[in-house]
Amino acid sequence: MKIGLSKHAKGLCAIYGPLLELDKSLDAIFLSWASQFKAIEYKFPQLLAVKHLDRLQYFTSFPHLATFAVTLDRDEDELKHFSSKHKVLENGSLELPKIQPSTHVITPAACYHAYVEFEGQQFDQQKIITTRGICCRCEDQYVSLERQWTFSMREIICIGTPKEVHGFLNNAKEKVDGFINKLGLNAKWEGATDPFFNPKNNPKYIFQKLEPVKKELVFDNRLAIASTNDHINYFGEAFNLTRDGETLSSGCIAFGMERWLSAIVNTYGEDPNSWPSFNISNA
Amino acid sequence: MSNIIRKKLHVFILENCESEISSISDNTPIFESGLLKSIQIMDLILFVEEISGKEVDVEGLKPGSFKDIDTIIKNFVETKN
Repeated sequence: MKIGLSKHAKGLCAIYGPLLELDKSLDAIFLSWASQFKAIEYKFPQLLAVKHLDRLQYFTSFPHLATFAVTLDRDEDELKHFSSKHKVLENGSLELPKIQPSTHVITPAACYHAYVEFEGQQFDQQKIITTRGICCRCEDQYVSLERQWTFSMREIICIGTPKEVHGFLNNAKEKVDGFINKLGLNAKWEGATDPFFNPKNNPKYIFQKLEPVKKELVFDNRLAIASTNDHINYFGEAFNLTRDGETLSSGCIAFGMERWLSAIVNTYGEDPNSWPSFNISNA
Repeated sequence: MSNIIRKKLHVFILENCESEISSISDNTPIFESGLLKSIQIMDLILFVEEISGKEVDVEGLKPGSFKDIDTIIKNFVETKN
């Protein structure tokens, strides 16, 4: 029986059948945890404004990962010319005429939208939301299900005091640990740093080495399938999230959906009948 | 020697701290308590290099290496190299 995976292009895959069902079952578990946190679910757009990402120094820290949304110049003659004369070259590329300066990137991480959503708001209690997005990160090498140009990420995000955020992250981590044990996956939490560009000169990279703000759940010592991130007050400051005049902290737990599929296939084989069955009641 | 550096670190942190405080202890968490922001870590490292005369190996940094003044002194001033 096929697992339900097809490759469309470098870094771009489709899933269907058993893998898609497994994806839905896993997401139902993650959503049930979000529900236990009383999280409101959001569906955010696929594009994120560069003016918002720039506030986070994203283009300094991760220029190599960004994929920009570009549109053609609205000039009618240019459009007519492109409409009739465009040609896809043998290497699969399409030469573009005049393009508009880019105002948006394709979302590189699901949680960024949350801070945009709540910009300038005051919270009298912790705010927890969840969202699932298709994220886009340009890489040098791609591996189906494990390192894709576009991939799905489920996140649960908490905005609150440092104590509230730490409590949330510990609680979320405990839920994951229990589930991993039941699933029988060989995975453990490790301290981690993000893939910064020119890391030695980036204070954020150095800070991640000094303060254990990011942890990854690593499958078989090689593949991060989930991560917890304590942003401290980084997003709170960038988007003016406050309580009683004090800047709030934030933190999130993120699940790389395709990577969970890969971990289960790698553990239990390519016969979907051998995959573990689970549901919300026993996760 | 350590005491002079200790005093210089106190002054540096208070000068670069946005909160209106007049003193800190050697055990006050520098970043966890919000005295300095994460973006200021580079400035702190450069200052430690300047006052200790020793280069800080960024790749070799471990969690907590810059936790508080006591830890900085122990890790980057009182070491032989």
